[in-house]
Formats: sequence, structure tokens, C-alpha cells
Amino acid sequence: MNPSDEITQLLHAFRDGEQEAFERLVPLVYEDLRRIARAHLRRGPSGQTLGATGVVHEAYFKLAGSAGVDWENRGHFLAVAARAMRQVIIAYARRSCAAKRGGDERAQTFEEGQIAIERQADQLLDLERVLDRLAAVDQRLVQVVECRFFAGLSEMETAEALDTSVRTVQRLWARARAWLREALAEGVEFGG
Amino acid sequence: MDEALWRRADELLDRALELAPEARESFVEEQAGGNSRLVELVRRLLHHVDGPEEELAPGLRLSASPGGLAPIPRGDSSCEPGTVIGRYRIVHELGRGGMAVVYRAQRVDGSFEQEVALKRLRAAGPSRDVIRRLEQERQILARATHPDWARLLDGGVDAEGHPYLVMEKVDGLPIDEYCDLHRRSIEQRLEIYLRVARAVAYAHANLVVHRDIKPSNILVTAEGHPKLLDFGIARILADSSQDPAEALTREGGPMTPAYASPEQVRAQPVTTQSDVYQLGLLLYLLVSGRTPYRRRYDSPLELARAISEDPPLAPREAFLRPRGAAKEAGEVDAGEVDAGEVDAGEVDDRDFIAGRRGTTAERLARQLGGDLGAIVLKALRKEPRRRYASVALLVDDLERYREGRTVRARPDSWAYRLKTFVRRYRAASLLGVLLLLAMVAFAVVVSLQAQRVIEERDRASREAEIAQESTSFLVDLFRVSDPHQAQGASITAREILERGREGIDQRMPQPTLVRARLERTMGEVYENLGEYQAALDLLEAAAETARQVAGEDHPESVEVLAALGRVHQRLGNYALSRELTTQALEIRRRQLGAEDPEVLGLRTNLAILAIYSGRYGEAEDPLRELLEVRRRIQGEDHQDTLATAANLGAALFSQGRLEEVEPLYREVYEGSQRALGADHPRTLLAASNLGSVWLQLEQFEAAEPLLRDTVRRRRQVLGEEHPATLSAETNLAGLLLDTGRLEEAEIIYHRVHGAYLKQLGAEHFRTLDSFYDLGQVLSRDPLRHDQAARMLAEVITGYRQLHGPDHPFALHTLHRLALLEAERGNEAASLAHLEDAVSQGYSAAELFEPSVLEDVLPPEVLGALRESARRSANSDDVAETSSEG
Repeated sequence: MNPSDEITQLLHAFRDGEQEAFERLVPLVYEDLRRIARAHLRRGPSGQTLGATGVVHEAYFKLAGSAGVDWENRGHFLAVAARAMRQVIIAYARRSCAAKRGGDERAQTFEEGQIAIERQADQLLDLERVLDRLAAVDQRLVQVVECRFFAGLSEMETAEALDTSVRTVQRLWARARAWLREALAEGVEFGG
Repeated sequence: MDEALWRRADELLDRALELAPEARESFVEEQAGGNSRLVELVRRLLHHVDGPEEELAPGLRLSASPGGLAPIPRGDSSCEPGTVIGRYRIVHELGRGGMAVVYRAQRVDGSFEQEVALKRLRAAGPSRDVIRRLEQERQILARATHPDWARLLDGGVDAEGHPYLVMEKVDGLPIDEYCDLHRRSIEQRLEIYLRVARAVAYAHANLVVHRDIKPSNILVTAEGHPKLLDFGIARILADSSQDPAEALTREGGPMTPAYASPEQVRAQPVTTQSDVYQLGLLLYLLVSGRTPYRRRYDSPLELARAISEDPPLAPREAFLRPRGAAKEAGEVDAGEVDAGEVDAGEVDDRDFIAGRRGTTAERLARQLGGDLGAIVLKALRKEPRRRYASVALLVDDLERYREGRTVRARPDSWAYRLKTFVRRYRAASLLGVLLLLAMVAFAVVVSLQAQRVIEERDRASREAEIAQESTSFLVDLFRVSDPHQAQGASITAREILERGREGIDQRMPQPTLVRARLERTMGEVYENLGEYQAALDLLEAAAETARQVAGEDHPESVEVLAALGRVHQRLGNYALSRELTTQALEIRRRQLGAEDPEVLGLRTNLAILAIYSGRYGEAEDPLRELLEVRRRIQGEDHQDTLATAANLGAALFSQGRLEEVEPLYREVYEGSQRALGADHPRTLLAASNLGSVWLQLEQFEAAEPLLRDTVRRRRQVLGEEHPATLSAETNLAGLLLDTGRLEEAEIIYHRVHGAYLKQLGAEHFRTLDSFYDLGQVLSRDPLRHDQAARMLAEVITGYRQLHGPDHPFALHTLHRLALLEAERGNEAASLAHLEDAVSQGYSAAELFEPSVLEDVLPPEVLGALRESARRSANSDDVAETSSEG
């Protein structure tokens, strides 16, 4: 099947509430995000961080502009992109951890300009581990972290992505932060 | 069980958050039903909620506003009057934006009092890079000044780590306000605008891009002199910001959302073309009093989308539309209807705008509708390369307009509007298609000629008639294994061919015309099977036989000569091929005249050779002439006419003029279908070519089925490893590459490369082409950049050995390698490759486009390279013109 048809079909399924369709959409935008993210990092002076908002917005222009893909509404895209963005950032963090430990010189050269991710790499990987557990509490808490933290979306955009109100987003966000601090700050598993 | 506890805790937390902070704890205790673990957990969670906003968790920083990970901290950046920064004392604040605060300041150490504007960036602690860039820009600006620029006087980093810039202080009004206040006419506005544009052009000549041209950055003094502010500063600001898109969403950032160019919005590299766009926008505003997009947007993202995607309204249209009138029948498409605008009601400010320009609404509309509107729109095109190539050209066109001469700006053609710009990235691999196209067209033309030669010979002698009869018998026997005849039957007659080849020596030991013809025909069959070396052996034997029996001017000798030229062409021996074909042409032209179909065929072949040798321009005119002659003599739908049309298409194709190619290829495809049927190899070829043009024009939905179908049919008809099959697969892989299906593309390129390597050897151009393609796929994967770079280097060496050091393929590949090295951060290697290419006369348009090179190479170095490339491009033009004249 043609990729744009595929996206369109999955989007319809996603709109009808199929979680599986969501999971399958993510890899379709992942590659674009990764490439755009790389370009951003390359452009920036060293010491630069990944401007996730810019990446997601740019990907939106690119995909929304591509022929035949009907994203229906931007929220669908943002939700999918936020998940993909999380994967992109975690992949970077993994690589920079590996580079640090394995002394892989090339990877380090390539990662130049990603200081913020590098510096926070260990914490990011911890976060990733904890997010899986957070899903057991409420899947939407994970999504709000993906949107706000990884994709850098505003409260309004996050509300659009989760198809809910800004107020709900604010509460979800506060809850998510509370849980993550609980897990990460104490270095213990949730609740003990 | 823990999970159950968590979920309860989360539920309580959620409900507690709806209450006032002081009521939360007691609520939790009440609800927890004596579960102390639960109470304790929720209490801790509530405590975390009050934690610092900007940290997701300890050590994980984020911004509460959009902006993603770890923004640069922004301290309170205001300075009290009297504060000393560097050699300047703050007098008072003049204004503030998202990025910086501007102060009026005075020199502290000067003997005379100089008032300056001091711009202090809010962001503290810039990286070494920003400081280095700041220094660089300052040096450039110190060297190049212009009376219409507000000068950058000084700059540095203050004690608190905030970078600051000191500029000449200008007293004046923003250009639009000035013009309105003084009721400047369109002509007067153009005059002052041209002065601004020339000042920008001067900056470009000195490698300075403004990037933030807008009315508030152009002040007009009481004496009527414009002064441009903030030259070179946007770039410094952008570098100190986190990322361009973030800057965009902030008012007063290094670019102003409403004035951002499409490439700024898309966070693509910004060049002088961005200034052309912003100058276009400024002109739009000055003449029409309007902006080209909707007035209101729900969000910066909406605005950015409009800038990036929506076609700008023509200035006349924008002017005629009263503000607030979002809907006007037939004028606005659905996407543009803005509910938020309707409530403003219709405000007809047209007379007001016209009055400010000393004219009436009617006259102003007329003025905006003509060439002036076209000039504005040309400057505003979405793709940088379709705007004026430089500010100087924009200035020139405006001057033409003022003098009433013809302007260069023309409205977009519908063909253009239908499809956006051509991508050049894949040009090299599509050259493979071009070669195939030319090859088969060539073969068909020549075999049709063969028929004519036979007829002519029949008339000429009885001996030849006998020869033809006996030959025909054998030829028919062999033709079974010629896939162009077999159409779908499996190719099993190769053995017959082998036996026949051995049989010639036994059965016809004497050189005769029949033997010559047999050898040639068998050679041609081998050629059609893609076995060029075997073809060459037989054709050389045929040439020798024919020369002995009939002499050099005999049709059979000429025929063999032409066939040899063709096979040498396929083997990449262009010089030899050209020589042989020219020989054949001269003999036949003498015998038959210039417009004989056979002579036309040979002329076509020579034009095709020019394409092979990379001299595309040289092929175009002869082909246009041939096409015209053929249409006249042979008719629109004639095979030869279609073949020539296809070849002309190929010549234009390789120059990237795809909009011109598409109708030609469509014509050839439809003509072939009518004349030959869908399964004929030539129809398949035409389909494949049309498919690849669609591919280039990014009409993927149309191209993919056509390309897949071609591959399938070719495999069936010609076999898996036939060059034409491989070529079709190469096209398909190109499509997969473009649509992001890298794995499938890589598999195909691997197979194609393997087949060419086996059949043609490592040095053959096709093998090199396919290796290039493979290198391109790998260069998409950062982990395999090393491998990709090695492959491209090998390809360059190969092309140079084959075609010479300055062949376009080699230079193109050098450019690709330079880009790849730049991506890998190998500045030195990247520069070396570029210098190599430019020193050999490389001046392709894409060299001048924004690319990763801008990020890696110092602007002066890249600018100097481009300058010498431009010079060599210009000298080529001169040379071509003089050789034609």
C-alpha cells in the first residue's frame, strides 16, 4: 500500500478509538522526526539543546503538506508525534550513554551539539523506565508527559492531542509530575 | 496489588487537586478510610505537586512554556539608568522584545558625547560559539558599512554574562508610518524603497544577510533618509536562541512571525533569498497597505502554516478586500474562511489607504494589478529559488517597471501551480533512465533504417536480393530469441544463437554480403540481449567482411558502422562512438541528402551522444530541429517522431526542466500505446520514462503503479538481469527512497549493483551509477555514513577515469560527498571536495542553495567558493554564446 494511504487508513482507525492504530502510526512519523531532529541539532551551536517544539511543528508542516495524507485534525498528529518524539529523544539518550561507556568515538562526534540530551541522558533513561510503570496508573499521564515534556507542546496543543480540555491537561500534568518526582527523586518504585 | 494502590492514590490526587490547597490533606485523610499507606503516598504526591515548575523531576529540566527540553535560563535583564555596560552608561530603556532590551546609552570615556542604542540580550551565558560568531559578524560589519545602515559600533559580553550590541542611534519613523504620514505616492514610495533594497543588496555583496527586514527596522529620518537597523544582528540573536522555531513563536525574537519567510518558518537554513522575500513583503505593505495573508490567526502555528503553505493574495485582491470581509463569493477558498474575522464587520478602508497614497481607490487598484503586483508576488514565492535570484534583480525589475519597460516577473504558469518544484537530489540516478531511454530509441531508429537499407539494396542488385532472402531465413530463426520479438516467451534461443555463430565460419567461409549481414544481425541480437562484448566481436567481423566485399560507402558498411557506434556508446566509449557515427552520417548525407529519414536517424544519434557525454545543451537544438522535420515529413504519431520527442525529453530531463519533459513523455507514451500496444518494449520504455518524470515531480501515487508494472513486465519479457529490467528497478528504488521505504530501496539497489558488477565490471558507468545510488541510501543512515562516504569516493574515482576529471557526474558526486562530510562534521574534507569540484568548473544551481554546508563552512570561505563557481558559470555562458555566433 502506498504510505500516504496507509497513514490515512490508520488515522481513521485511530479516530474510531483503536489503540493499535496509534501504535502503528508512530513508526510512520518517527523517521521524519528523527531526521528533522538531527537537522536541528546540526544547525545549532554546540551547547544547543533539542528544540522539540520546532521539530514537531516542522514535521507537521511536512506531513500535513504531503499529498494524500489526511490528518483530519492536528490533535491526531500531535499525539502520534509526541510519542515518536519520545522515542527519538530516548534513542539519542541511549546512544549517548552507550558512547560514554563504550568509548565509541564516532557516536560522540555525531552526537555533537546534543549536550542537553547527553547531560541528561541517564535521567532520561530513568524517566523512560518509570514511564512504563506510570502507564499502569493511567495511560493519559504518560501521554501528557509525551506531549508536554518530549514534544514541548503547549497546554492548548496538548489538550488538542488528548482531545480534552486545557483544565484537564493541567491536572493531568500536575499528577504526572507528582508521580515522576515520587519515583525519580526517591529512587524507589512507586508507592513502595 | 501495588498497582491497585497507585490507582487509588492517583484518583484521590486528582480529586484533591480540584480543591483549594489548604483543604486537600484533610480531604485525603477523610477519603482514605484509614489506609495509612495510601494517605502517606498521596500526601507525598501532593507535596511533589508544589515542587518547582520547571523541573519534571530532579535533574530533568523543562520549560513550563512551549520550548521543550532545557531552555536557556532567562534572568531578569532590566538595567537601571546609570548602569555601566562596557564603555557605555545606560540612560533609559527604549523598548524591549522577547530576546533583548534596547536602551539609550552614552559613552562614558569619550571626549564627545555620542548617543547610542544599546541592545542587551536577555539570555546570559552564551556559548563560545555565539561569542565567536558575534565577533565574526562585528568584523564583517566593521569592514563593510553603508550610509543607509545604522552602524554597529561595538559589542561584547557584560559583567553578568549578557551579550550586548551597540548601534548608531537613529531618530526617525518606521518606513510605513513615515510614508503614510507624509502621504507619499506609489512613485515616491518606490523611490525610498529602492534605496532600502540597494542597501540590502550592498549587504549581500558583503556576505551579510539581514534576516529581519520589517518596517520597524527601517527608520526614515526627518530629512527623508532611510536607515536600516539591526544588520547582521538577527543571526547573532538566532544563534543565542534555543532553536529557530521557538524564536518564531516569541514576539520580538530574531525574526518577527508576521515577517518570517517560509524557510524561516520551516526552520530551514536562511540565506539572502530570505531577505528577498522580506523585501517583497515590505513592498507589498508599502504599496497596498495590506499583508498577503489573513489578518488574524488562532496561533503562531496557524500563521506559520499560512506563510509556509498558503499562496499570497495578489496585492490588488488584498487591497480590494475590505478588512473584515473574509468571504467574498468565489474569491476565497474554504480553508481561508475565518470565523473570527467576521465579527469585526466590514470596514471599508480602501479610500483611506488610497488617500494615504495621494490617489483614489480605483486608480490604486489598477496600479497594483499590473506588473507591480507581479513583481511583488515573484519576490514572495514559497521556494527561495523561484524568487528573484538576488536583491539586485528585484531592484532591476522595479526600475524597469518605473521606466515602463517589460519586467521579468510573470505570473506562475498553471503547470507550475499544479506541481511544485523539482528535486535535484536524485538527478544522478535518474540519468540511468535517460541512458536507457536514449539507447532503446536509438536501437529502434537504427533497426527501422535497416529495413530501408534492405529495400534499397533489393532494388539495386539481384545478388543482394538473393542474399536478403537467405539472410531473412536465418534472421527469422534468430529473432525468436530476440526479446523484442518474443514478447513474453522465455528466452531460450540463446543456444541457437551460439550455434549459429559457430556455423557462420563453417558454412560461409568466404566473405560475402550475406555473411556480413548475418554477422551484423547476430551482433544486433546480442546487443538487444545486453551482451555488448559479444555484439562488438560480431559487428567488428561484419565491418571487416562488408568493407572487403563492398567497400566503405556501401549501405551495409555504413549500417555496420552505425551499429558499432551504437554499441560503443553503450559501452561508454563516447569519443569512438561519436567518430563512427559521424563517419556513417557523412557518407549517408552525401548519398541521400540532409532530410532523408536515415540521415535524420544518424543526426539523432549524434545528438544523443552529446547527452551521454554530458553536453546537454548541445543536444537540445538539433533535437528540436529534428523533431520539427520529422513531424513535417513523417507525421505526429510516427515511431521516429515519437523517438525523437523522447530523446528531446531526455535532453531536457537531464537539465532538470521537468515541466517541459512531462508533456513530451506523455505524448510518447500515448502514441506508443496506440501504435504498438501495451506490452511492446517501447511502450514499456515510455511508461517507465513517464513514471520517472512523475517521480521527479513527486507525483508518487501516479508513478508507483506505473513503475512496478514496468518492472514486472520487463522481468517477464527481458529477464531478470537485462539492463532495461535493472534500469526499471532503479527507478522503482528511487521512488521507494523518496517515499521513505529505505529498506526495500536498499535491497533493490544491492541487487542491481551486483548484476551490473557481474555483467559489466566495476568500471562501467552503470555499475558506478548503481553504486552511487547505494551510497545515497546508506548516507541516509548516520550509522553508515563512513561506508557511504567511502562508496561515493570510489564512484568519483570511477567517473573520472571513465569520463575525465570534470564530467558533471563526477562533480555532482563530489558535491554530494562534500554534503555528507559536512553532515559528519568533517569540515576539512567537505571543503576539499567542494574546492575540487569548483576548480573543475562545477557551478550547478544546487551549490548556491541553502544546505548543511552553511553550518559547517565559514561564510567567507563558502562565499568565495560560490563566487568562483559563479564566475566559471558565467564564462561558460560567454564561451557558448560566442561559439554559436
